[in-house]
Amino acid sequence: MRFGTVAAAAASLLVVAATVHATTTTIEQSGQQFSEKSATLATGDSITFANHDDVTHNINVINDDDDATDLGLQKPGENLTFKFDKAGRFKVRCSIHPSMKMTVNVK
Amino acid sequence: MRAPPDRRRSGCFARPSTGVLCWLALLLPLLVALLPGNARAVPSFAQQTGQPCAACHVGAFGPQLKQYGRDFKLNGYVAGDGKSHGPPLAVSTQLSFTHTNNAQPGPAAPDFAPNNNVAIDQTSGYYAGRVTPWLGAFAQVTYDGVAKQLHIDNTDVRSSHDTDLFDEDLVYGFTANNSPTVSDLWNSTPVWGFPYNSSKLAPTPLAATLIDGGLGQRVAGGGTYMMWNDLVYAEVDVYRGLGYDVLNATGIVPVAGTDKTRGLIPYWRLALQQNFGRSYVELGTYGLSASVEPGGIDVPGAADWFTDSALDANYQFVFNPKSVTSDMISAHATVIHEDASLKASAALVGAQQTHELNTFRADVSYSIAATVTPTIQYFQTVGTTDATYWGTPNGSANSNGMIAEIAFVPFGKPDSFISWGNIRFAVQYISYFTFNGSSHAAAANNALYFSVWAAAHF
Repeated sequence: MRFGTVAAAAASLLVVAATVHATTTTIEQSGQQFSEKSATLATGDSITFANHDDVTHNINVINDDDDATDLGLQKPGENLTFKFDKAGRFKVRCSIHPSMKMTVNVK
Repeated sequence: MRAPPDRRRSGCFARPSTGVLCWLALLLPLLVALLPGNARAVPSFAQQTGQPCAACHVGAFGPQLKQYGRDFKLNGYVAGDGKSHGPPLAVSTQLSFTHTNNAQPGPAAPDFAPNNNVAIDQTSGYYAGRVTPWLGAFAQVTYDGVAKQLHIDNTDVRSSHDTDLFDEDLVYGFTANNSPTVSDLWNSTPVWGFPYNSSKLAPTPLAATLIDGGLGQRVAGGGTYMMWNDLVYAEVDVYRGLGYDVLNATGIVPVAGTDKTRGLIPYWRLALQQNFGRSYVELGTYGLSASVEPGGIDVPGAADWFTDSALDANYQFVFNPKSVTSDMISAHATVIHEDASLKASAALVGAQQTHELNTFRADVSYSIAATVTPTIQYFQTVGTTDATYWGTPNGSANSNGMIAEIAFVPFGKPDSFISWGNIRFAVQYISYFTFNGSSHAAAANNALYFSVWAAAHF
């Protein structure tokens, strides 16, 4: 019983620690380009996409299986945050601007 | 002898009965766009992407492309905002006034006066945008208000895909189109080059290379293209001339007595592009080779062969890349060299058996806030002197001159209070230093052209 309590507490600490260490990287969208062509993250990390252009963007995050998550229309000045909660290689695209391409490796 | 100036009101607005129709044709795009809940964006590309005209176009009006416009075309006209907008249909119309230094000896065109003509140059309908997620089209049907003829205009249907090659992006696709260079991404090549509109009621030089508009809408073909690493572009197409019956059906006139092409016409294109900070540079080459029956006459064992080889260059500088309305410098240049073997023309009219023709054009524009865009161009064509072939007074193919234009586009920007339509006002002046081999009479052909170009999406 006592061992179980200790184990549960340790597991909670690990979760908290993992949460504490999750980071958020900011990627700027400027001149209809992403500020970085690639990024490497840990599982649970997030990217905030900051639209510094004066036109709308539409970010899609595409996983290894080619399943796309549409983050919706992003007006000028808007920020969108996406959490990468699974490991893998992701493609980030703007459906409006085909040359906006970025790769995210999540370990 | 200089003819007396003809200041009669002529052409489209000459008669009250047709004048009303002329005004309706001009205002049609705006009227369509004003219908509540029906029309939303201009043109259909803008609606599909949710982007203002200025995102794709220098000066916030087509056809001069920025980087995003080129990317949109490269990727098959299918990029969009994920919403459903219905069929991508659009309409445009152009109204103009033309004054030439000297009145022409006869009517500038049937039903027009020798000078000072008002006209509806053309009214066009478009299917322009996504057909399926992997197929897009730019297809234009035009009513030519000067020739009074409905015809199939520029058409480019393309399918685009992307993959990786040597760990870098490869965009590749297929195009079916009806004019060499209509599928091109740059405004240095003939179909989409400056001037973007010009008078159909002013004299123009007789000599031009075959690739410089000689085959537009008179051929059909297709091919494949690719862009690797946003650096190397290559395209290969093959065309075949359309028969007289097809040309009649598609409204491409005149038909009888016009040149016919024989066999297949290969077209090639290779370009390198690179961004250097806020600068963009493109260098390329393109060309074609075609066998032609002059006047559509089959001369046994002989034909005219044309091989056009061209170089081109583009330069763009954007002052603030974050803003689609940033000031922008844009320059284009091309030089086209044509070698011709005129065995058929030699047999028919006694033309020299070999010809050369060289065309050079270079233009530069400065777009101010995507609203006011002055442009200046130098153009020159020099070739073999041959009186029986060119039909010019002294047999010379040579012409050169300059075009100055200033365009004003009030809408098409992110903050425009009208997002459903756009309009372009332009004043253009063409000054000839040499015209069809003559320099002392060249200025008689100088032309002032005022145009209003309106467009809307259904």
